Amino acid sequence: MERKNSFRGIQGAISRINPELLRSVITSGTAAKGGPEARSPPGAAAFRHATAPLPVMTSAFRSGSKGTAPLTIFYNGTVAVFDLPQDKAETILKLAEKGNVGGVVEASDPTSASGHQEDLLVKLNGELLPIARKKSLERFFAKRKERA
Amino acid sequence: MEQWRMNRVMSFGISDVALECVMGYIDDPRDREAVSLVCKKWYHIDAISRKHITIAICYSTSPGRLRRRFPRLESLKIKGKPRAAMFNLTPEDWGGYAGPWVGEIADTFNCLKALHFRRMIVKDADIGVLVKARGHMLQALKLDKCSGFSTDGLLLVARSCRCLRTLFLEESSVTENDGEWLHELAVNNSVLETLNFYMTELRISPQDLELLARNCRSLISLKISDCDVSDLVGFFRTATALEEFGGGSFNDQAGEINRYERVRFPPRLCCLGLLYMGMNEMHIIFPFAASLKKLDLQYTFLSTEDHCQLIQRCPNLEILEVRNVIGDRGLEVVAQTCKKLRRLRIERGDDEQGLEDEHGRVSQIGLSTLAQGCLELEYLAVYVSDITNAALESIGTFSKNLSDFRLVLLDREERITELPLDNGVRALLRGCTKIRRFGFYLRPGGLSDMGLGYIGQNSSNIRYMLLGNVGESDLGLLQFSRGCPNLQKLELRSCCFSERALALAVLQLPSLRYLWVHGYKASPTGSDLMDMARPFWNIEFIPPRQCIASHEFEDRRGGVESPAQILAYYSLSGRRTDYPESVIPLYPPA
Repeated sequence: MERKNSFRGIQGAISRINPELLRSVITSGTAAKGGPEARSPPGAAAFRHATAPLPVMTSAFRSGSKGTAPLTIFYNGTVAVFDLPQDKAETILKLAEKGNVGGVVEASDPTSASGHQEDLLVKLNGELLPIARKKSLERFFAKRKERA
Repeated sequence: MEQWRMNRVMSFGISDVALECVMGYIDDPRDREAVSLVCKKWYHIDAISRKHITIAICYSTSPGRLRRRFPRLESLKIKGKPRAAMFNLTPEDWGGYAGPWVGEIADTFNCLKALHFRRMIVKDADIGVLVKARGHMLQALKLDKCSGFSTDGLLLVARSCRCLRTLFLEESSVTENDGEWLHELAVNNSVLETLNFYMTELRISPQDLELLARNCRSLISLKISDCDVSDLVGFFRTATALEEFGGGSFNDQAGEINRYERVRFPPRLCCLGLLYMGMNEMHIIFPFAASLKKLDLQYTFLSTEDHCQLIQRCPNLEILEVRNVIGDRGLEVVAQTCKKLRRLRIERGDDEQGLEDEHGRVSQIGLSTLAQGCLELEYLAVYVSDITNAALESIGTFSKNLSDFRLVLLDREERITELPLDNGVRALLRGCTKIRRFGFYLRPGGLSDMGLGYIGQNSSNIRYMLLGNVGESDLGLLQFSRGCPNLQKLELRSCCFSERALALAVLQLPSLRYLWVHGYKASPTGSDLMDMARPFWNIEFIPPRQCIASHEFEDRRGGVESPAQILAYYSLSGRRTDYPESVIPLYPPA
């Protein structure tokens, strides 16, 4: 999955992964540091704030129908969304914090308002629609491709 | 009917005759609305003297009601499908049929000279009924983004409407049987001033265009479909009064270097939009670039640098339409050169790599420069790749004439320099007090609940809004809806609001008469939506569906799941009787 696709949010991409499996993925991943990257995965913001309980939730937290809420995880170019109750989400975040070796990778630009970038993670679970494209322009792009 | 005349000849000291004369000078529909509410006499005089009516959504009233109130209409504009239809978001069979209206027009509207259908379904039979009854009087016919008719219908128009000064078909889906209609138009008409079939697939012969130019000496505006510009040399030579041209196309053939050298544009040409024009052909505009008032480069193949080269020769530009390939650099040239610019549209480019200039991004840098340079701006619509609060503040400071502002934050870049835009949008709205139409389409985190509240508090004149990905929760929407005293039409997309909040907002917004929502926190039963049920309020629900995959999702199997839509509007004519299967009306149990 390309990074840009993961950013836009995968419509209806909801996985259910056993927390044990997820823990093994996180611990093995942090052991193998990748090469220098210009940008770190946005998900690192979530891990950075793991000291606070449930960092991905804001005061405007909306709970799902059974007391669950979405947890979105960006990992290594992939994104996964889970509908979890509060305690399970805390468990996962604590695991991630423990598995986070060395210093915290700075996820956001110094100039950006990082507090609100977190909201991004909360929203990327199906409500986000791709920006609609105008018919007239679509036709133009199609014709341009034909001529190329 | 006339007996009231005997009781009171004078109304507030003004005779009826004088009243009619005075009212004839009042054109603004809002003024007319106020006038009609003064008393029954004034209502009556307004009704018989009203020349033009625009019906924003065809189901808000009925042809019969229109006729009973405004029997002497000379000009009528009716809109059908929601604006979303321009983005392929509305089912094709949603509705908006011209038939019932045409029937009434043919029977009773004896003064009608101008008719404009926008986003409606018009059949050949409808055109037939119309021209049979009104053809001899029709001066302007606009089938604007319509569908359902063919060139046979156009042939009827061409043969029957000899007084036609305006024929407008832009972006309509027309079934093509032949090109006879244009020939007939050229032969039968001698007063045509405006012909527009821009953005249609109609194929025509350049000879018919030349014949049209010869017979219609008043032709000042022609916008056509695809037709090689080198075939139009004869037309341009003949159409000496032409001021506006759009369409045509350029086709680079190997070996024909001088294909377009013979093209000489008419002397008064000041509005231009050429399809598929590239860098090699751009120079044919240079000789008269300084007289250009309107330029459309949305459908050209120009790079950022090409835009700079061209625009720096256009100091008299008032209207400019481009794609974001213009870039911040191009906007700098605009700011330096186009001091008279009133309208600027910057559309989005293609997302695919390699097809657009890599400099083709518009950001806060370009916007700020533009605001400071073009102080006459009234309309600004822009797709940006990056944004800051300062850029919006800049617009609030400098763009004092802005009446229509729309900003869409593209979703390609993961990181935006500065979000949320709470303070920027507040400064913009406080500075640009004339804004009547406002679009703000962001991404999650782009605007907090407080920011959404700011919009509500600072939109006293705004009548139309499109909001996308704004706010964080229902609280934001509720704060917003405590403001916006004049908001009539609201479009919400990809927001996180619940049905309950949407319903409450609708009930709170005092002027709201039209709501469209696509992507919201839908509940399994949709029952909370009924909180907004009230008399004269039609609620339409379009369930989630598979729709045609737009090209960015081409590699996925099947179509794209499009979430539910809500369309709600005030109507004097009760429930629609022509709902397709894709649309479900929602009403409380009787």
